[in-house]
Order: sequence, then structure tokens, then C-alpha cells
Amino acid sequence: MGVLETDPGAITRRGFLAGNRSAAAKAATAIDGFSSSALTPPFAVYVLGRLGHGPSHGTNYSVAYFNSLGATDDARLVNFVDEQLAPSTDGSGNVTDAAVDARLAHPAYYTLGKSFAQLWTDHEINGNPGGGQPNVRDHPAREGERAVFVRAIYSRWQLFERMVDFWHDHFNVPCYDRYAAPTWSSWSRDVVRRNALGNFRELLQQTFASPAMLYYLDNYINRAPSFNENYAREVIELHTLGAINYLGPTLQQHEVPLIPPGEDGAGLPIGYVDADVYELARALTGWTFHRASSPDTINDGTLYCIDGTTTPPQTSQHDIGQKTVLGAFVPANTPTATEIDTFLDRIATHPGTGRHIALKLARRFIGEDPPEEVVAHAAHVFHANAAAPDQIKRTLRAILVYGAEAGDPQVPGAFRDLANFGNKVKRPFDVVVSALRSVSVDFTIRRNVDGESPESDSFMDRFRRSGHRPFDWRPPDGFPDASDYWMGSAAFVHAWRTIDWTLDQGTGTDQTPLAPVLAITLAEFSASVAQHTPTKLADFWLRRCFGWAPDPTNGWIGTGLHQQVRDFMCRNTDTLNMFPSEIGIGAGPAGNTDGIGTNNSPNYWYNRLRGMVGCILFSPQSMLR
Amino acid sequence: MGNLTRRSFLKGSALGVTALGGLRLGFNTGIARADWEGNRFIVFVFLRGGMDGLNFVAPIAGPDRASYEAKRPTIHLRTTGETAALPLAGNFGLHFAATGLHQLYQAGRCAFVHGIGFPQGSISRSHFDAQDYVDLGTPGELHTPSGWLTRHLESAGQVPDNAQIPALCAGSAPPDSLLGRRDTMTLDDPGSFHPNANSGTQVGGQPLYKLSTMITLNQMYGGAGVLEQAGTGAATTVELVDTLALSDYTPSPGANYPTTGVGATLANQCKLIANVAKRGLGLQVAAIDYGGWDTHENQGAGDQPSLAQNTYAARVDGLSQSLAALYADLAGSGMADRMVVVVQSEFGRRVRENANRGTDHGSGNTMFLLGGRVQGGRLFGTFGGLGDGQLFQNEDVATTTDTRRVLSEVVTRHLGNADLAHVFPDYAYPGPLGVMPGDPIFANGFD
Repeated sequence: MGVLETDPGAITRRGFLAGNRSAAAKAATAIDGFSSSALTPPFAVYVLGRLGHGPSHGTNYSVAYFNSLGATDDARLVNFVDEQLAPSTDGSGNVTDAAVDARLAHPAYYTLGKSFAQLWTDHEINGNPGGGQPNVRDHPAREGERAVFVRAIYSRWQLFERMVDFWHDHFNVPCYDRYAAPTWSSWSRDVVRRNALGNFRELLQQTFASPAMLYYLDNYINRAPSFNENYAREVIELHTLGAINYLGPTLQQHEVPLIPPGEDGAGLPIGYVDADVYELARALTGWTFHRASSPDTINDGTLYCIDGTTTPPQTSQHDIGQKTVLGAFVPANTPTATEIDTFLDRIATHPGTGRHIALKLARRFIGEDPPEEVVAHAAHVFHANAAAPDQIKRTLRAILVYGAEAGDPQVPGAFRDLANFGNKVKRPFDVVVSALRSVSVDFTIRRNVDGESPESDSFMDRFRRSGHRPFDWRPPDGFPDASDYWMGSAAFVHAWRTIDWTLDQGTGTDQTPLAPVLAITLAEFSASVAQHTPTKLADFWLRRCFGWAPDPTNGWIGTGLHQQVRDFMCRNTDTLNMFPSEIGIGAGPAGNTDGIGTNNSPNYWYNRLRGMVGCILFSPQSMLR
Repeated sequence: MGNLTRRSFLKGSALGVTALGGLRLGFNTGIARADWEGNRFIVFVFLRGGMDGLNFVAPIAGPDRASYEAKRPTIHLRTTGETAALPLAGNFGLHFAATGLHQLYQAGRCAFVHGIGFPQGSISRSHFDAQDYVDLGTPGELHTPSGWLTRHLESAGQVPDNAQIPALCAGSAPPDSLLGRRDTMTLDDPGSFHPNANSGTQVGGQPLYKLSTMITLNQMYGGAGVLEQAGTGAATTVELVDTLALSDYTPSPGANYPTTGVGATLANQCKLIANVAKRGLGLQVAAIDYGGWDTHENQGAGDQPSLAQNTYAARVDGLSQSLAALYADLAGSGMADRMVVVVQSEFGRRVRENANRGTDHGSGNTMFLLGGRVQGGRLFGTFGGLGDGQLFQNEDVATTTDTRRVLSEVVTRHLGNADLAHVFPDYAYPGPLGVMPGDPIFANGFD
């Protein structure tokens, strides 16, 4: 064996770039929209569910607010996207968000504001001295996996948080990994959040410079002459060009066709081969971080290359030979910083990277089989703005408002097309977060310090079993985006269970409910118990949870879902007998004196009310975006 | 009504919930056939991350030994001492931590195939492409809309009408080998598997509104859409876990599932499979993922016996113990002949170890099978050699047997499915290697 049968001429740029890989294969199994029963909501509700985690009553992320932004859906979409793409920031460029900032000011969060240097000192160097107590090494990771819930639930900058989620998946690092855990607050803030709408090359640079990534993908020990290809391969295959641009192991670099004149990136190789991975791996030899690994004496976690120029002197671990990556040539003995800049510039600006990022963004926001016109347009915007400080924002905007501005071409299936509703099933994190938002939960999920917030641990323990614990995806490709992956029983049941638990849970010595279901109910219906009919309660909570109703007069009344939810409210615990649907709970007649806020046998009304809200949040309507 | 039991609820309810006997995950329209050979099934174990098959089954003597030691100066399996490889046929030895598998091999119930992988034009050293190739069963093609196990179930024509759990994924999400199969039970653990977390007031031994919630779930997800099917599957899984008391299970004596170490989760998943298989629920296919094989660094020195210091050995130990326990569990109930366990990864690793005492992505690999009908105690396939000029691209163990050849043999000879054209489209099956015995039912047929 060893004779390689290849026919480079057979590979055309169009032919392989059209490849949508497995996610498209998965989409092919889906019908148009996953549900046969869910109803299409108004445009505002669709947008709020796509750009974020659904409407939040009485905020700038609500149906009413969205509808106030223009005369047409298109105008509202453009205005809302532009507002969401311009979140307020502090002097350092961090997004500010009053509701979130107030919650994250809780003393249980004490690492989010620390500088990288401070984190390194406090949680790496002094994180777990001697392996004993106190062990504070993991505290930044523990804060991070909980702060992400707080942000998703309460942030008014929902689109920004979605992009943060996107990049955390894209540049996946498990938060409890060796060097990720102590530095997580900086990884999340300085690397991901700071650049989430910024420049891709800069984002790539920051991920490369991070001990979390250098360690996770083994580059910290990538040494000449027998290099370790792990990081180099994933940089090309996952972070930049993506496997859609992989031409396989048999072609050599000089056999790869070039992008024809007139196209973005004309003259560059159309894709990458294994040799490009190996050449980049050679360029990455010696790149590591200071951790006082003898004879190095510095221990501050910063990036450097063991290339023979270090103090104190270390034997070079860098391959000094000439290298070529995707057509970019670097002569032998080029300074290592210049060399890696050259190559990262090349792969970050190769049009294949634009194509890959545009395709992933379009899948995340539009659906698993987005229109080619939108992807091609966004890829071009990405490529044309390679040097722009807001390159990612421009690319995302190109996807979201495609066709919505005057003179735009109209393409079915673009983001503005309401027919997209229902072609994405929420991932467990989205299921739970949107549910908690819709019932106005008051829950600062946080590290449980000295038993102060046991409900935070209980919440995380339940959610973990959904398979979507934040930042807990071990392989480097990040949590799957495809809906199919998340439709297994365990993902559904444990997301529902987490919601159910939260609806029932109290906090503090007086066990104040985390979810003010009763207070909201009583506020809506005043004290008139005659109003507390199962029919009206079901209608109210359907409107409240979803932010809309199918009929302006009758609300949800008359829909199948209303009937099912109403029947839950009517159904007695014996599961056989039904309370009348049109009689106010607690309004009489004889025997019917326990009100909705009571929890006495045999009716357990308060429990039943929470159970009814749970059913709404478990429904097909609630599982879709 | 406080003592209402689940059974009486299900019988007495006029609310449209399926009666107990009708509870099943199936949406099967497959042709019901005679329950031949007592429901044989496959357990497909995917070692994600690229398992280093060359250090799983390695040359311990013969012409390749010197090349093996030279190319893997630190990590090569030893031939003497505490970490000596366990002898297999010919010049090969099994990793020292795989004692459970070695016992099965010696008992003739476990077989290894060397040099497996994809045809040359379809080799990929990308984890994600290669995993898709395996899961979808179509190397080189990523657009396939269904997994290979799904296509087996579609074409097997033998899913009994009364199968309650024809396909089981032991984990929190189903692998793509079952892509498109909507009646897969996806269950991470039978404990606390229901949506009503409230542990307060109970009725009939259940959370207060659990039964009522299940009724509503079944109503809400009563439609025909993909999402509705998934929701119905989730609700039915909850009810089956309950009705069958799946959380109450005692393995056969001698089935020692490890409860600690890196294999503890895998062991729990294996136990769930045995649990379901032994209840006669029509199990045809079970799938498990066991990751952590991407050993680019410090995968474990060949002379390091401590599992705490030898990551690869610890993984192998977890795998071996868990699968040995699974076999013992089935064998203890006289069901070992029904089961075949097929274990494979997306690719092998490079022959030469890297500077970090690890190995980078390669291609040709080892797979193995175990079960009561496996013609074990033997090695199958062709080992391409480790000498100069024998490696694929001077880097990898050569691929000499298409993975699909082994799987085709399992599909035809164990699972009784003749429709290979459906399971592995565009694959020309050259006939069996002999890992499974020929089945008289098909003696005149395709094989």
C-alpha cells in the first residue's frame, strides 16, 4: 500500500465548499419545522426567541418593546438588531448590564472582576497549596458555570449573550480543565466576551495566547523535532477553516487547486491538507506559557516561545526550518512571533474561514439548512472586513437583517422569514433559561459558600443530567448545535425536571419561592376568587409564558394546548375526577372554599397551579424557537 | 383514593393514556417475524477520541517487535514484568490492563481484528469527520441522513410487534449511529428519571402531580411531528422506567461492574443494557459512547503499572472490567449467545510516539467483538507490519480490512439481517472473516 490514487482535478472549489457535512445530513431527516402541534407566533416572539431566550415581561426585551421600534416587522427587526448589537460598555470595553451586574455583585462572586494576573496568583499559584485546603483553584470555573445562567436569564443584551455562548462552543475549553479552572474568569471576560462582536483575528489571537487553550490542546508541550499536532489541527479544522475545507490526507500542498481570479482570496489554495496541519504544528513548536517549568523561573501564565531567546536560557524547542501554511511561506530562522503572526493571519483571513464562521452562525441563528445566498453574503462580509474591529458584528448583522433593508434581495428562509419558527429545538440550557425568564424567577444561581445557597447546588445537580452542563463538553468541537442531538429522552426529562424543581423551590429561612407564580397570579386576578377558574388561569399563564396569544379576544382559549393545560388544573389528584373548568377556585359552592394560594388536601391548589405552569413550560410550544 | 396504585390508574383512566400493556417506545412498522433465536442484539461501543489500537493489541515477538519498540520507545507494551502484555495468538499481545477481556479471549468469547478502518479514499484524520463516517456507516459521505444502526433496524424486519425498547442509548444523548431512529430510549440512569422533582407530598407513593403531569405530557405530545415523537418517547421512557422498576436491578452473580475509576460511568451504562436486555423487552440495538482516547500526551509509559499514573491503562481497565461484567451478567442468565458487543473507534493513532510520550491521529486500528457466539480466541484481519515501507504514508498502521466488513458479518450472521445494501449502501461485502458462525437459516442465502 502506499500508492495514493488521487485526482486533484476532480476537486472543485464549488463542489467541496457546498458540502454541509453532517449537520445538513441531520437536517435532512427533519420535517419543515419539528412540531406538528406548535403554533406560529408573531414575528416579535420569533425574533426574541432567536436572538435571545424569549421575551421578558416589562423589559427592553419584550414583545411590546420590539413592536415600538418601527412601522413594519422589517424595520423593527433592523432597529432591534442594531440596538442589540450595540450593548452599553464600561471604559474597558466590558458590556454593562444593570440587572446582571447587581446580581453578580453578590459576595459569592469574587473572581469575576479579577485581572488575569490576580487570578493566576490567587487561584493558580496559591490555588491549592500542597494539595490541601483551602482549595480555591476551581472557584473561577464554578462561578463561571453559574454566572452564565444569571446572565442568560437577566441580561437585556440577549444577543450578546447568545454570541458569547456561540464562541464558547466554537473555541470550546472545558471549564474544569487544568489551567482553565483557575483562569476561567479571564478566559470568559478577556478572551470571549471582550471579542464576541469584535475582530475574529484578535479573538483567535487571544485564544491562542491563553494557558487554558495551550494546555487543553497540548500545545504547551509541542516541541521540535517530533511535534504534537493537536492544537494545530484543531485551529484549522475547528477554529478557522473548518473541516468543510479539508481536502483529506492524500493530497499534498502543491496539488491543491487555487481559488480562481475574481473570487475572495484569489490565488490561495482552495482548502487545506494534512501537510498544512503539520506545517502549522511545526510553527507552533515551543509556544507555551510561563509556569516556572525549570529552567524557566517566571510563573505568570503568559505566552512565550521557547526559541532560544529566553531568559534564563532554555534549549530551543522551536523548529527553525522554513514552512508553508495555506500558501503563506516563511523562510527559515524567521523570528517566532513574526512567523506565527503570518500563519494565523493567513488562516484567519482565508475565505474558507469566513465561509465556515458564516455557516456556523447561520445555522445557529437561522436553522440547520440556511439559504446559500445568506451564507455566501455573510462569508463575503466576514472576508471584506478582516481588519475591521467590529468584523464579527458586521457579519452577524449581515445574517440577521438579510432582506430586511430597502432594496435587499428577498430570499425565502432568511432570518426575517417567520417560517423558520420551529426549525430549531431548544437545547436544554435554552429550555430552562427561557422557562425561568418567562415566570420572572428571582434566583441568583451562585457558588454555594458555606451552605449559604444550597438551592444553587441542587439546581446544578439536576440540570447536569440533561447533558448540557455549561462548559462541560470534553471534545474540542463544543456542544452540538443540531436539534436532533438534543431530542433524546434524557435531555428533555432532565430539563423539565430542573424547571419543575425551580417552580417548587423556596429559598432562605422563610422559603420565599424562587418563582413568584402565586404572586403573579394574584396580582393578575386581584382578589376576586370568582376569576380563578381553570380556564382563565390556563389562559393567563399561557399568555404570560409565551408573551403572545393566538386570538386577540379569546387568547389561548379554544386551542388544544389550552384545553390540555386547563384540564391539568381541573384534574384532581386521584387523576379521575375533574374540578369544573368555569368555577372560580375557592369561590364556592359548598366545599370549594380553599383558595388558589392554599395547599390543603385533597386539592393542593398551590401545588397544582405550579404544576400547571410546569406543563406549559414542558409543552412542544415551549421547546421550540 | 390515597392508595391508588399506578396500575389501577392506568387501567381506570379514561383520559386516553395507553394501557400498561401497550406501553412501548416503538413506532415500528417493520414486518413482524417469528421471534427467531430469542432476540439477538448488538451492543455498539464507540471509543471516541481515536483509540490507540496498536497499544491495545501489539506485536510482542516476531519481525515487527523491533520496529514497534523503536518507534514507541516509551509507551510500547512490555513483554516481561508487572506490565507484560497478555499473550494472544501468533506474535501479538493484549494490553496488560485488559485482563477481563483476556479471560474472555481465552474462553473463546472475544476476538480481535487488526488493520480495520476506511478505504483509502475515505481516510480522514479529523475526529469529527471520521466519527461521522463510523456512525453513519458511509465512509467519505457526510450527508447520509440516517445512522447505520438505524438502517439495520429499518431493514431487519424482525423488531417484534411487542418490543417495548427496541433501541437503547445508555447516556444523555443518542449517538449518530442511531440518527433518525425516533424510538430509541435515551436514558442516562433510571434513578430520579421523571419530570416531577417535587419530593414533598406524595400520592400513591409518587410525587403529588406526577401521574397528572404524565397524562398532560402524553396529550401535549400526541401529534405526529418529530418533536411530538421525541416528547412521547420521553414520557414513555419515564413510564417504562417506573412500570418496569428499572432502577431496581440486581446483576447476575459474578458480574462485577466497577464502581470507581474512569470506567464507572461505562459500567453503569453496561449494567443498564444488561438490565433492559434481560427483561425481554425486544432489545435489538444498544449504543454506548466511551470517550477520552485522544492521547496526544503522556498516554502512559509501557512499564507504568499504576492506573493513576497511566491514563491509557486506566481507560483500558475501565473498558475491560465493564465489558467483562456485562458479559458475565448476560451469561449468568443464559443469554450470552444473544449478545454481540462490537467495540471500535474512529481511527487509530500514528505508529511513532510524539515528543510528549503520546500519539497523534492515525488511521488503521484494532476493533474487537465479544459475545457467546463470537468465534473468539482468535485474531482476524491482516496486520500490515511496522517496518519501513509498510506503514500507510509512513505514519499509520495500514488499513487492510474495511470496518464495514466486520459489521456486515455481524449484521448478517448474528442479527439475521440480509439487507446489507440498505445498511451499508454502495459497499461490496466480500464475505465473512469468520468472526461469527454461519447461521443455518441463511445457509442458502446471501452468505
